[in-house]
Order: sequence, then C-alpha cells, then structure tokens
Amino acid sequence: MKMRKVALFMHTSLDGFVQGPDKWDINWISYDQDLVEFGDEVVSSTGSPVYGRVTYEGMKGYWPTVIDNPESSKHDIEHATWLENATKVVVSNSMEKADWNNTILINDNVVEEITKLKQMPGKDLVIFGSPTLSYYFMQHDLIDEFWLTVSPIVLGGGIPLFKDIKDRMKLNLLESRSLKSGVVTLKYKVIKE
Amino acid sequence: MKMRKLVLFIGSSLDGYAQGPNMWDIEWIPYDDESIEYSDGVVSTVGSPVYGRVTYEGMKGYWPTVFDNPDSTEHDIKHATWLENVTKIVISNSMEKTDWNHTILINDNVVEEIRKLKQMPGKDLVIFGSPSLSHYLMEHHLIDEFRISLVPIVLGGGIPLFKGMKDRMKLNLLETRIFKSGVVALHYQLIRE
Repeated sequence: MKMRKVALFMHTSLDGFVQGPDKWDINWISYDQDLVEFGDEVVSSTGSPVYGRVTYEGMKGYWPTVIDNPESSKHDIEHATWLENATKVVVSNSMEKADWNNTILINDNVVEEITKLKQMPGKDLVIFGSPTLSYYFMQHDLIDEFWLTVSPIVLGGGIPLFKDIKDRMKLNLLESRSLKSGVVTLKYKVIKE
Repeated sequence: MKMRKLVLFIGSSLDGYAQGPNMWDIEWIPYDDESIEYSDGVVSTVGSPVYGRVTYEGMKGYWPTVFDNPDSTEHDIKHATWLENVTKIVISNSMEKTDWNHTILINDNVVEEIRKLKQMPGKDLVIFGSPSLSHYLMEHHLIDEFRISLVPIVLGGGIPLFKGMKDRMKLNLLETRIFKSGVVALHYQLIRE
C-alpha cells in the first residue's frame, strides 16, 4: 500500500539555522513572489500540516485574525481559509486539548500515531516550522522528505535545522531550483536502509 | 585596481559539516566524472592554492608520490604536475619552514599577508578544504567567494563549515549546478557593505 509521506518544510540560512538567536528572528529569509509560489506548491501537496506546540499556538493566534482583517491580501485570506479547514496535527506532550478547528492532538505514542496517520488516505503530512518537533521526528526516522529553501546568508547562530542526529542520513536529491532572490530550493528523499 | 579573489572551495553535508568526526572523514563526498570536471574548472581559475597546515601536509604526503605510482591515471599525473609547479600558500602559526617546491609560508600577520597576495597579479587564491583555516579567514572577512558542494547526506557531527562567525554574512548567489550524484554545487559571492 502506498503510504502518504511526512515531509519537513523549512526555510534555512546557508549555515543551517532556521531562526536567528532572537525569537521570531526570521526577517533574513529572502521572501519574494517566487518563494511565496514555492510555499503555495508545498501547501497544495499538504493533506495535514503538522506542528509542535509553539508553532501551533503561533498559527492559532495569527491566521484566524487574518480572515476578518480588512488589510489582508487575497492570498492571505485564501491561506487562512485553507488552514481553518485543513485537519491540523499538533504534537505536544504538555498540551491537554487543542481548541482550534479540525485539530488532531497527539501527546503520546507519537511514532505509532504518526504511522497510523500515514496509512490514512490523503495528501502528505507536512511539518511547518517547529524545529524542536523536527528533531524528535528525525531521531525516530519519521521524516520521509526534506523540502528546504536556503537563503543566501550566513547567520552564525540561532536555532539549527539539524540537531542531535544519531545516525547518518543518506538522501536522494529529488529537485533543486535557484530563485532570483538567490534562494536555492532543495527537495530530498531520505534513503531508508 | 581589480584585485584577485580569495575563494573557498569545499564540500559540505546538508547539516553543514566539511568533515565527519574522524580525520579525513570525507569519503561521503561523491567523487565522479561530474565532480572531477567541476573541480578541474575550479582549478583552472587558481593562481595559488591556499592550505592550512593539516591539508597542506596531506597534499604534500600524497601528490608527489603520484608520479611514481603505476596506478596513477593521466588525470592524476596532470594534477600532480600542476600542483608541483604552482605557487602554493600554506598558513600556519606552528610551521617554521616547508620543503615542498614553490611554497609561500605565512605564519604571522595573516590578514596583511593575504591582502598583499590579493593585490598581486594572477589568477585567484583558492582554499581547498582546510575548514579550520577557513574559520579564521571568514572571521577576518577575507573570503570573497564560496564554492560549496552540498552533498545529500546528514552527518550529525564533525568539523563545521561555518564556525565562530561574529557578523552575519550576506551573499549573492552566482551559480548553482546539479550533479547526478545529488550534489548541488553552490557558488556565492560575499556582499561587502
């Protein structure tokens, strides 16, 4: 049976940081129309976005307000609407309930629960942001693909994309593009041995 | 006056290691026709290769033996001949002298000496590998271009490509090439502000 994949979507610096040393220090991401389009492609292959607690709460605090904000762009409203209706997955051992629409909360037996979700029909499970959750997923071999964008900057510090890796992970490059902004997009598949 | 550039040519894992945890742990960098061709292209831009002590000694211990080795390919001999005749630069504060042909040893006033070498006519100064030396040169803003061969592997540890950065480095993406092995060759220029 073909299972759906778990992909990690992340914007990183050339030295592998997903956020600078300060909270929400992500303004160095070379954001432009091309990157928005890459993000839209990611969203279009996403069945369920997967978040850790912090990112989930950030999303929950922001996107629902976009729908009623007269300054929101059409694109933002579309995204907010998609997010409202999508089945969101949040993985956290400290949350007891999640009160945003259509949320599946996993706070125990993560590997088993994710494996079950992979066996359900639908588009892919995609982790957005959520570096701490990503470390856990990587350690437990739960990630099938990496969808990365590398901004042309060296930060020198912050929150790393990869951390506490126990075993080497060999990858297959599926696709790479360079955008006008100097961002390089990379899609890799994990080679499971 | 147009100065010649200092370029870093190095392999990196996706998680930003230039070498695994063990000495010369670089066999994870694919070596095939495409990488040889790319590397030959880089060599053709080199006025002087630049090494740290460890890489220099490794090169000195290996390349001169290539001439007398019956298993050497024509390409190996050609490269060994080039290396024998080219003016090599080694930067080390512990070396006092060197006995390999045509070597300039810099063991003091590195920043000044590199600046002087950049002002001399000729092709570029290119660092091959030598991550520790590169950290020092980056910290002192001496590296003008980065040619990073991004290898489709996550190592989890080793010698990082970037380390000890005090300031953010903004880069211009000049070129990318994708190899069949999954290596993405990234070529960046430092934006000086």
